[in-house]
Amino acid sequence: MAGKAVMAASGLNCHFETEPRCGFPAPGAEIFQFDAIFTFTIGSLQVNVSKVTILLLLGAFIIVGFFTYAFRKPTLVPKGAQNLGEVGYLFIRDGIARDVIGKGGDKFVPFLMSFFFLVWLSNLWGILPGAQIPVTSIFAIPVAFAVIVYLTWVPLGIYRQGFVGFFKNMMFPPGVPKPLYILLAPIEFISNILVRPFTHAVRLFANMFAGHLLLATFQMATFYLLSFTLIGILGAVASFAVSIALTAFEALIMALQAYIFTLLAAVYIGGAVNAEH
Amino acid sequence: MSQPQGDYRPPGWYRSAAYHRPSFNRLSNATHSMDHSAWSISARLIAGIGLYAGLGWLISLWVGYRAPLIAIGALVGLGLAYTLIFRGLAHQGNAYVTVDLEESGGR
Repeated sequence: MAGKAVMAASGLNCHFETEPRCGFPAPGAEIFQFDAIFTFTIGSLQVNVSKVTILLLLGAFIIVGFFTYAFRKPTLVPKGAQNLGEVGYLFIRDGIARDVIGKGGDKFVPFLMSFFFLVWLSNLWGILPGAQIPVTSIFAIPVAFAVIVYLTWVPLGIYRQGFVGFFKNMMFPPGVPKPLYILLAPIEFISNILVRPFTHAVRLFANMFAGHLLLATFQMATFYLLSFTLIGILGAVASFAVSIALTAFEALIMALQAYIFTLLAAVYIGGAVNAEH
Repeated sequence: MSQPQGDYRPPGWYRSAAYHRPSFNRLSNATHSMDHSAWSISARLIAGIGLYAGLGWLISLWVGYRAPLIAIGALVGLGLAYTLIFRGLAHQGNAYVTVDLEESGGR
Protein backbone atom coordinates (compact mmCIF):
# COMPACT_ATOMS: atom_id res chain seq x y z
CA MET A 1 0.00 0.00 0.00
CA ALA A 2 0.97 3.63 0.06
CA GLY A 3 2.99 3.44 3.29
CA LYS A 4 5.00 0.58 1.90
CA ALA A 5 5.74 2.54 -1.25
CA VAL A 6 7.42 5.24 0.81
CA MET A 7 9.43 2.69 2.76
CA ALA A 8 10.48 0.89 -0.39
CA ALA A 9 11.59 4.10 -2.04
CA SER A 10 13.92 4.95 0.78
CA GLY A 11 14.66 1.49 2.07
CA LEU A 12 13.36 0.11 5.34
CA ASN A 13 16.75 0.65 6.98
CA CYS A 14 16.92 4.25 6.01
CA HIS A 15 17.75 6.19 9.12
CA PHE A 16 19.49 9.42 9.94
CA GLU A 17 23.30 9.05 9.71
CA THR A 18 23.30 5.45 8.51
CA GLU A 19 25.29 4.34 5.53
CA PRO A 20 24.42 4.69 2.71
CA ARG A 21 23.06 8.17 3.37
CA CYS A 22 19.46 8.84 2.55
CA GLY A 23 17.22 11.86 2.73
CA PHE A 24 14.14 12.24 4.87
CA PRO A 25 11.32 10.33 3.21
CA ALA A 26 8.73 13.09 3.66
CA PRO A 27 5.21 11.77 3.29
CA GLY A 28 3.20 13.40 0.51
CA ALA A 29 -0.14 13.04 -1.20
CA GLU A 30 0.60 9.34 -1.82
CA ILE A 31 -0.34 8.47 1.76
CA PHE A 32 -3.94 9.27 0.85
CA GLN A 33 -4.02 6.79 -2.03
CA PHE A 34 -5.10 3.26 -1.36
CA ASP A 35 -5.13 0.24 -3.58
CA ALA A 36 -8.41 -1.51 -4.20
CA ILE A 37 -8.85 -4.48 -1.92
CA PHE A 38 -11.41 -5.96 -4.26
CA THR A 39 -13.24 -4.81 -7.34
CA PHE A 40 -16.67 -5.56 -8.71
CA THR A 41 -18.68 -4.28 -11.62
CA ILE A 42 -22.28 -3.16 -11.77
CA GLY A 43 -23.18 -3.02 -15.47
CA SER A 44 -20.41 -0.96 -17.01
CA LEU A 45 -19.50 0.71 -13.71
CA GLN A 46 -16.39 -0.57 -12.00
CA VAL A 47 -16.42 -0.22 -8.23
CA ASN A 48 -13.10 -0.32 -6.39
CA VAL A 49 -13.42 -1.08 -2.71
CA SER A 50 -10.42 0.23 -0.77
CA LYS A 51 -9.63 0.65 2.92
CA VAL A 52 -11.34 4.05 2.86
CA THR A 53 -14.57 2.63 1.42
CA ILE A 54 -14.63 -0.06 4.06
CA LEU A 55 -13.96 2.42 6.90
CA LEU A 56 -16.71 4.74 5.67
CA LEU A 57 -19.25 1.91 5.50
CA LEU A 58 -18.06 0.51 8.81
CA GLY A 59 -18.50 3.94 10.39
CA ALA A 60 -22.06 4.23 9.10
CA PHE A 61 -22.76 0.69 10.28
CA ILE A 62 -21.36 1.36 13.77
CA ILE A 63 -23.42 4.53 14.20
CA VAL A 64 -26.67 2.93 13.02
CA GLY A 65 -25.88 -0.11 15.16
CA PHE A 66 -25.08 1.89 18.27
CA PHE A 67 -28.18 4.07 18.20
CA THR A 68 -30.43 1.15 17.32
CA TYR A 69 -28.97 -0.72 20.28
CA ALA A 70 -29.14 2.31 22.59
CA PHE A 71 -32.82 2.98 21.91
CA ARG A 72 -34.01 -0.61 21.44
CA LYS A 73 -35.99 -0.57 24.71
CA PRO A 74 -36.13 3.06 25.81
CA THR A 75 -36.87 3.47 29.50
CA LEU A 76 -37.94 6.61 31.32
CA VAL A 77 -34.82 6.56 33.44
CA PRO A 78 -32.06 6.01 30.89
CA LYS A 79 -29.08 3.88 31.73
CA GLY A 80 -26.09 2.43 29.91
CA ALA A 81 -26.03 2.94 26.18
CA GLN A 82 -29.34 4.81 26.20
CA ASN A 83 -27.84 7.37 28.57
CA LEU A 84 -24.96 8.00 26.18
CA GLY A 85 -27.29 8.09 23.19
CA GLU A 86 -29.53 10.64 24.89
CA VAL A 87 -26.61 12.90 25.74
CA GLY A 88 -25.67 12.86 22.05
CA TYR A 89 -29.26 13.51 21.01
CA LEU A 90 -29.70 16.39 23.47
CA PHE A 91 -26.40 17.91 22.41
CA ILE A 92 -27.55 18.08 18.79
CA ARG A 93 -31.13 19.06 19.59
CA ASP A 94 -30.44 21.79 22.15
CA GLY A 95 -26.93 22.78 21.16
CA ILE A 96 -27.39 22.97 17.39
CA ALA A 97 -30.94 22.45 16.08
CA ARG A 98 -32.88 24.65 18.54
CA ASP A 99 -30.14 27.23 18.92
CA VAL A 100 -29.52 27.78 15.23
CA ILE A 101 -32.74 26.84 13.43
CA GLY A 102 -34.99 27.83 16.33
CA LYS A 103 -38.67 26.98 16.10
CA GLY A 104 -39.10 23.94 13.88
CA GLY A 105 -35.50 22.89 14.42
CA ASP A 106 -36.55 19.62 16.02
CA LYS A 107 -37.58 18.26 12.63
CA PHE A 108 -33.96 18.41 11.47
CA VAL A 109 -32.43 16.71 14.51
CA PRO A 110 -32.22 13.26 12.83
CA PHE A 111 -30.54 14.80 9.79
CA LEU A 112 -28.05 16.83 11.83
CA MET A 113 -27.39 14.02 14.27
CA SER A 114 -26.62 11.52 11.49
CA PHE A 115 -24.21 14.02 9.99
CA PHE A 116 -22.50 14.89 13.26
CA PHE A 117 -21.79 11.32 14.28
CA LEU A 118 -20.89 10.10 10.79
CA VAL A 119 -18.46 12.98 10.23
CA TRP A 120 -17.02 12.62 13.71
CA LEU A 121 -16.37 8.91 13.34
CA SER A 122 -15.09 9.38 9.79
CA ASN A 123 -12.60 11.90 11.20
CA LEU A 124 -11.78 9.77 14.20
CA TRP A 125 -10.60 6.89 11.99
CA GLY A 126 -7.46 8.98 11.56
CA ILE A 127 -6.24 8.30 15.08
CA LEU A 128 -7.80 4.89 15.72
CA PRO A 129 -5.09 2.21 15.58
CA GLY A 130 -5.43 -0.02 12.54
CA ALA A 131 -7.51 2.45 10.59
CA GLN A 132 -5.26 5.53 10.79
CA ILE A 133 -6.73 7.38 7.85
CA PRO A 134 -9.40 10.03 8.37
CA VAL A 135 -11.98 9.09 5.75
CA THR A 136 -12.89 12.77 5.34
CA SER A 137 -9.37 13.59 4.15
CA ILE A 138 -10.32 12.03 0.79
CA PHE A 139 -11.87 15.05 -0.92
CA ALA A 140 -14.72 13.15 -2.59
CA ILE A 141 -16.25 12.26 0.76
CA PRO A 142 -16.67 15.74 2.28
CA VAL A 143 -17.87 16.84 -1.17
CA ALA A 144 -20.55 14.15 -1.07
CA PHE A 145 -21.56 15.26 2.43
CA ALA A 146 -21.69 18.93 1.40
CA VAL A 147 -23.75 18.07 -1.70
CA ILE A 148 -26.31 16.27 0.46
CA VAL A 149 -26.59 19.36 2.68
CA TYR A 150 -26.80 21.60 -0.39
CA LEU A 151 -29.54 19.50 -1.96
CA THR A 152 -31.42 19.80 1.33
CA TRP A 153 -31.35 23.53 2.00
CA VAL A 154 -31.80 24.84 -1.56
CA PRO A 155 -35.07 22.99 -2.33
CA LEU A 156 -36.19 23.67 1.26
CA GLY A 157 -35.59 27.39 0.85
CA ILE A 158 -37.42 27.49 -2.48
CA TYR A 159 -40.30 25.53 -0.93
CA ARG A 160 -40.56 27.78 2.15
CA GLN A 161 -39.88 31.21 0.63
CA GLY A 162 -41.03 30.67 -2.93
CA PHE A 163 -38.69 30.67 -5.92
CA VAL A 164 -38.53 34.47 -6.24
CA GLY A 165 -38.53 35.10 -2.50
CA PHE A 166 -35.68 32.66 -1.90
CA PHE A 167 -33.37 34.34 -4.38
CA LYS A 168 -34.54 37.82 -3.39
CA ASN A 169 -33.78 37.23 0.29
CA MET A 170 -30.45 35.71 -0.60
CA MET A 171 -29.25 38.35 -3.04
CA PHE A 172 -30.47 41.53 -1.35
CA PRO A 173 -29.12 41.67 2.21
CA PRO A 174 -30.60 44.48 4.31
CA GLY A 175 -28.69 47.56 5.38
CA VAL A 176 -27.03 48.36 2.06
CA PRO A 177 -27.66 51.50 -0.04
CA LYS A 178 -29.94 50.56 -2.93
CA PRO A 179 -27.63 51.48 -5.87
CA LEU A 180 -24.92 49.22 -4.46
CA TYR A 181 -27.19 46.19 -4.98
CA ILE A 182 -26.26 46.19 -8.67
CA LEU A 183 -22.70 45.38 -7.63
CA LEU A 184 -23.40 43.35 -4.51
CA ALA A 185 -26.23 41.07 -5.61
CA PRO A 186 -24.02 39.02 -8.01
CA ILE A 187 -21.48 38.51 -5.18
CA GLU A 188 -24.20 37.29 -2.84
CA PHE A 189 -25.58 34.94 -5.49
CA ILE A 190 -22.18 33.41 -6.28
CA SER A 191 -21.11 33.21 -2.64
CA ASN A 192 -24.31 31.47 -1.56
CA ILE A 193 -25.07 29.22 -4.51
CA LEU A 194 -21.62 28.32 -5.83
CA VAL A 195 -18.96 29.03 -3.21
CA ARG A 196 -20.88 28.00 -0.11
CA PRO A 197 -21.00 24.22 -0.77
CA PHE A 198 -17.35 24.40 -1.85
CA THR A 199 -16.16 26.09 1.36
CA HIS A 200 -18.38 23.78 3.38
CA ALA A 201 -16.58 20.74 1.96
CA VAL A 202 -13.11 22.31 1.94
CA ARG A 203 -13.29 23.35 5.62
CA LEU A 204 -13.64 19.73 6.65
CA PHE A 205 -11.35 18.24 4.02
CA ALA A 206 -8.44 20.65 4.49
CA ASN A 207 -8.40 20.26 8.27
CA MET A 208 -8.37 16.50 8.07
CA PHE A 209 -5.89 16.36 5.21
CA ALA A 210 -3.42 18.70 6.91
CA GLY A 211 -3.83 16.99 10.27
CA HIS A 212 -3.15 13.56 8.83
CA LEU A 213 -0.13 14.82 6.91
CA LEU A 214 1.24 16.45 10.06
CA LEU A 215 0.87 13.26 12.08
CA ALA A 216 2.45 11.21 9.30
CA THR A 217 5.40 13.62 9.04
CA PHE A 218 6.25 13.47 12.72
CA GLN A 219 5.84 9.71 12.92
CA MET A 220 7.99 9.28 9.85
CA ALA A 221 10.56 11.63 11.41
CA THR A 222 10.59 9.52 14.57
CA PHE A 223 11.41 6.45 12.49
CA TYR A 224 13.92 8.27 10.33
CA LEU A 225 15.85 9.95 13.15
CA LEU A 226 16.10 6.79 15.22
CA SER A 227 19.80 5.88 15.08
CA PHE A 228 22.62 5.38 17.54
CA THR A 229 23.81 8.95 17.65
CA LEU A 230 22.99 11.51 20.30
CA ILE A 231 21.26 13.88 17.94
CA GLY A 232 19.38 11.02 16.31
CA ILE A 233 18.02 9.71 19.62
CA LEU A 234 17.16 13.21 20.88
CA GLY A 235 15.45 14.01 17.61
CA ALA A 236 13.51 10.76 17.59
CA VAL A 237 12.33 11.25 21.18
CA ALA A 238 11.30 14.86 20.52
CA SER A 239 9.56 13.88 17.31
CA PHE A 240 7.72 11.06 19.06
CA ALA A 241 6.59 13.39 21.85
CA VAL A 242 5.32 15.89 19.30
CA SER A 243 3.45 13.19 17.43
CA ILE A 244 1.73 12.13 20.68
CA ALA A 245 0.80 15.74 21.46
CA LEU A 246 -0.46 16.24 17.90
CA THR A 247 -2.59 13.11 18.19
CA ALA A 248 -4.34 14.65 21.20
CA PHE A 249 -4.67 17.91 19.30
CA GLU A 250 -6.11 16.06 16.30
CA ALA A 251 -8.67 14.35 18.54
CA LEU A 252 -9.88 17.83 19.47
CA ILE A 253 -9.87 19.07 15.87
CA MET A 254 -11.80 16.00 14.70
CA ALA A 255 -14.64 16.64 17.14
CA LEU A 256 -14.53 20.37 16.41
CA GLN A 257 -14.70 19.94 12.64
CA ALA A 258 -17.61 17.52 12.93
CA TYR A 259 -19.36 20.12 15.11
CA ILE A 260 -18.61 22.94 12.67
CA PHE A 261 -19.79 20.89 9.69
CA THR A 262 -23.07 20.13 11.45
CA LEU A 263 -23.43 23.69 12.72
CA LEU A 264 -23.00 25.04 9.19
CA ALA A 265 -25.54 22.56 7.85
CA ALA A 266 -27.92 23.88 10.52
CA VAL A 267 -27.08 27.51 9.65
CA TYR A 268 -27.87 26.86 5.97
CA ILE A 269 -31.09 25.05 6.78
CA GLY A 270 -32.02 27.76 9.29
CA GLY A 271 -31.45 30.44 6.66
CA ALA A 272 -33.66 28.54 4.22
CA VAL A 273 -36.45 27.90 6.73
CA ASN A 274 -36.56 31.31 8.41
CA ALA A 275 -37.00 34.00 5.78
CA GLU A 276 -35.28 37.07 7.11
CA HIS A 277 -37.67 39.80 6.14
CA MET B 1 -30.29 26.29 37.14
CA SER B 2 -33.73 25.60 38.50
CA GLN B 3 -34.34 22.24 40.10
CA PRO B 4 -37.82 20.89 40.67
CA GLN B 5 -38.81 21.36 44.30
CA GLY B 6 -39.89 18.62 46.69
CA ASP B 7 -38.98 14.98 46.79
CA TYR B 8 -40.17 14.11 43.31
CA ARG B 9 -37.79 14.81 40.49
CA PRO B 10 -38.70 13.89 36.96
CA PRO B 11 -36.19 11.53 35.42
CA GLY B 12 -33.28 13.19 33.73
CA TRP B 13 -33.90 16.63 35.27
CA TYR B 14 -30.19 17.14 35.78
CA ARG B 15 -29.54 16.87 32.09
CA SER B 16 -32.20 19.27 30.96
CA ALA B 17 -30.78 21.70 33.54
CA ALA B 18 -27.29 21.25 32.17
CA TYR B 19 -28.43 22.23 28.71
CA HIS B 20 -30.61 25.05 29.91
CA ARG B 21 -28.71 28.28 29.40
CA PRO B 22 -31.35 30.97 29.78
CA SER B 23 -29.48 34.03 28.53
CA PHE B 24 -27.85 32.23 25.62
CA ASN B 25 -31.07 30.59 24.53
CA ARG B 26 -33.02 33.83 24.70
CA LEU B 27 -30.35 35.60 22.70
CA SER B 28 -30.30 32.98 20.00
CA ASN B 29 -34.08 32.66 19.88
CA ALA B 30 -34.33 36.32 19.01
CA THR B 31 -31.58 36.12 16.43
CA HIS B 32 -31.93 32.64 15.02
CA SER B 33 -32.98 34.11 11.75
CA MET B 34 -29.74 36.11 11.58
CA ASP B 35 -27.71 35.59 8.48
CA HIS B 36 -24.67 34.27 10.39
CA SER B 37 -22.40 36.65 8.56
CA ALA B 38 -19.28 35.38 10.28
CA TRP B 39 -19.57 32.04 8.50
CA SER B 40 -20.00 33.58 5.07
CA ILE B 41 -16.87 35.75 5.24
CA SER B 42 -14.69 33.32 3.29
CA ALA B 43 -17.38 32.62 0.70
CA ARG B 44 -18.04 36.32 0.17
CA LEU B 45 -14.34 37.12 -0.20
CA ILE B 46 -13.84 34.34 -2.74
CA ALA B 47 -16.97 35.31 -4.67
CA GLY B 48 -16.21 39.05 -4.62
CA ILE B 49 -12.60 38.81 -5.71
CA GLY B 50 -13.29 36.05 -8.23
CA LEU B 51 -16.26 37.76 -9.83
CA TYR B 52 -14.75 41.21 -10.26
CA ALA B 53 -11.28 39.99 -11.21
CA GLY B 54 -13.03 37.90 -13.87
CA LEU B 55 -14.97 40.94 -14.98
CA GLY B 56 -11.74 42.93 -15.14
CA TRP B 57 -10.22 40.20 -17.27
CA LEU B 58 -13.19 40.23 -19.65
CA ILE B 59 -12.98 44.02 -20.00
CA SER B 60 -9.24 43.73 -20.58
CA LEU B 61 -9.96 41.33 -23.47
CA TRP B 62 -12.43 43.79 -24.87
CA VAL B 63 -10.26 46.95 -24.69
CA GLY B 64 -7.08 45.15 -25.65
CA TYR B 65 -5.23 43.14 -23.05
CA ARG B 66 -4.38 45.36 -20.09
CA ALA B 67 -3.29 43.39 -17.01
CA PRO B 68 -3.94 46.20 -14.47
CA LEU B 69 -7.67 45.87 -15.15
CA ILE B 70 -7.61 42.43 -13.54
CA ALA B 71 -5.90 43.84 -10.45
CA ILE B 72 -8.34 46.75 -10.29
CA GLY B 73 -11.22 44.31 -10.64
CA ALA B 74 -9.85 42.16 -7.82
CA LEU B 75 -9.47 45.21 -5.55
CA VAL B 76 -12.99 46.44 -6.36
CA GLY B 77 -14.34 42.95 -5.65
CA LEU B 78 -12.43 42.84 -2.37
CA GLY B 79 -13.86 46.21 -1.37
CA LEU B 80 -17.40 45.15 -2.24
CA ALA B 81 -16.98 41.87 -0.38
CA TYR B 82 -15.78 43.81 2.70
CA THR B 83 -18.81 46.10 2.39
CA LEU B 84 -21.08 43.06 2.42
CA ILE B 85 -19.24 41.49 5.34
CA PHE B 86 -19.23 44.61 7.51
CA ARG B 87 -22.83 45.51 6.68
CA GLY B 88 -23.90 41.97 7.48
CA LEU B 89 -22.01 41.91 10.77
CA ALA B 90 -23.32 45.34 11.74
CA HIS B 91 -26.86 44.20 10.96
CA GLN B 92 -26.31 41.10 13.07
CA GLY B 93 -24.71 43.17 15.86
CA ASN B 94 -27.73 45.47 15.98
CA ALA B 95 -29.94 42.43 16.53
CA TYR B 96 -27.82 41.50 19.56
CA VAL B 97 -27.92 45.02 20.97
CA THR B 98 -31.70 45.14 20.65
CA VAL B 99 -32.03 41.90 22.57
CA ASP B 100 -29.67 43.12 25.31
CA LEU B 101 -31.68 46.30 25.78
CA GLU B 102 -34.93 44.38 25.93
CA GLU B 103 -33.46 42.05 28.53
CA SER B 104 -32.09 44.77 30.80
CA GLY B 105 -35.32 46.74 30.47
CA GLY B 106 -37.37 43.78 31.55
CA ARG B 107 -35.49 43.34 34.81
